[in-house]
Amino acid sequence: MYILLLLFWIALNGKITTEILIIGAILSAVIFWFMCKFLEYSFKSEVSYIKNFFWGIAYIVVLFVEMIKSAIAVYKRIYSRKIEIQPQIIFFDVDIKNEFLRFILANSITLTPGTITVDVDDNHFCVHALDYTLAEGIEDSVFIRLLKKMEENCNG
Amino acid sequence: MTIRLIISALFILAGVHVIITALIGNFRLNYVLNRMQGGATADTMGAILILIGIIIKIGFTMISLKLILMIGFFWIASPVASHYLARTEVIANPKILEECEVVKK
Repeated sequence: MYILLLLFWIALNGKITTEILIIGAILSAVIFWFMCKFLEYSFKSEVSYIKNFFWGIAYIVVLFVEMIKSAIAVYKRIYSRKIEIQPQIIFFDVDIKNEFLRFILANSITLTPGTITVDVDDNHFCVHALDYTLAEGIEDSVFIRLLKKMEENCNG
Repeated sequence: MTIRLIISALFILAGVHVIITALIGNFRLNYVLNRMQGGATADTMGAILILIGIIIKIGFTMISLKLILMIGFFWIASPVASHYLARTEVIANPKILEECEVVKK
């Protein structure tokens, strides 16, 4: 997270000089201390983020592919001459315990066109789908399998 | 140079096409939640495709780093907004069962 903050500072400045680097290092140290104190970050969770770095990149690629696939499915329905859809609200449970990973799952369900997360209550998800075929197999999707692997990485 | 221009133009055109499709979907579908499905694609897929097109056009500089940051913020902020709209609709509409079937697993 410290490195991310430093990168953010450099990106906002637009160039790399020693002055900017020193000031950025001090500022991001202060912000990182603040996050550790008030936002439940710690060096322990940092290690688990670094472990999951490559899984995160793989996750973003998978998310992009899924988005394109379901976007095509939605556009077929929008452009068809007569719109035949059966909207559906699905309740299902997910056994992911980490709150941050659950937040990522809810966001990526909403990001894929055709499905919107309506409510998240502990591990009960409530999802609205444009058509019932778009929601098929949502409780065992690629996202959930990837996130479970990431959680195992965090713990062990 | 020209190949880069063509690729970036293709990306930007795809993004504009996605946004136009979302607009058409907004008018053709008939219920709030279904309309949101059409509209929510515009601010994720459309904006991202246009930004990727711009990044390819200007090459990898500090400005494109800022554009990548913008993509990140889009991906975090837009699902939260549509999630809150959907939850308000589901809570506030007493006739939700007429519009969509409810499945529990």
